[in-house]
Amino acid sequence: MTDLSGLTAAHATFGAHALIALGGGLAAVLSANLARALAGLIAAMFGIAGLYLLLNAPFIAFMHILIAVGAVSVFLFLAVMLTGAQDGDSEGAPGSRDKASAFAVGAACASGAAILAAIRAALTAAWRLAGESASAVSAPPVDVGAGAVGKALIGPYGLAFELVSVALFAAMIAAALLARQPLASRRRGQGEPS
Amino acid sequence: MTALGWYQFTALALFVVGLGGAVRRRSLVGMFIGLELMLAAATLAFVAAAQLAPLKPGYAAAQGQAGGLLLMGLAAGEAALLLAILVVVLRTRSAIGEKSADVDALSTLKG
Repeated sequence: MTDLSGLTAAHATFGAHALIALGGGLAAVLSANLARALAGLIAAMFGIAGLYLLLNAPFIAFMHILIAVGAVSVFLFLAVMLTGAQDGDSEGAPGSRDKASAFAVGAACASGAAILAAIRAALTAAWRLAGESASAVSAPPVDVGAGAVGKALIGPYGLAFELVSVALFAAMIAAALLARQPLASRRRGQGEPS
Repeated sequence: MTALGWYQFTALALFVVGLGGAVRRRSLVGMFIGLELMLAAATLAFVAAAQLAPLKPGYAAAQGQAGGLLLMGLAAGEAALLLAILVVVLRTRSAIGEKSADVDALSTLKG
């Protein structure tokens, strides 16, 4: 399918980062220990950040590292510490029903991916037949910089920006309210039977 | 295949991996790891489509990067909510005597 003589350094870099992302993702999903799964998730996030750099979007790449690795993974490590990495996950000895359902899910995902790949290949062939060459479809990516992104966020996409702000605000308030005081002890403090 | 096609394939594979993890895992944290992978894959597909847009290079890139930033913010807020929910789940369940975040045991919503 691919002609090896056309491979460039960009192909190799893309392949390496895609391999890091996919391998990390597989480790995040398949490893029984949740701490190891988190390490796999962090590897996958670094691979995705490398893909962003290859897309000539360094701002997004470093924001991705900052948020996904610096914030979300730290949150998840806290969650793992709360539940316990080993016995927090009861996948040590899955029953035969669990194995069968996992196999069914995997088969369904694989067949869905194959169907999508077939659709994609058909569409690509259709585009080629329509007269567009491959080089015209993939223009070299342009780095617009953080300034253009900021202008887009406060200009034409201000509504989406404000909606995300509202969602984050609601999430913060909900988190604070949920974690503030146990409901049972509040009821006991009021003298209700529990 | 074009560069955009390769990126979309990578994003699709990551999404499938994350979906499999979210379905297969039994603990809240494990499911959230799969969810986080799916969100990252969606962001990657979004930004790649904007950066490698065939029409007018640079025109759609700002939109795509802004959308990617919004998605990342939503993912971070989701993680904060997961931690709060986990605290509540552990607190109510440790009152009963169990100390795990197994989602199969969480079948009631009574406060």
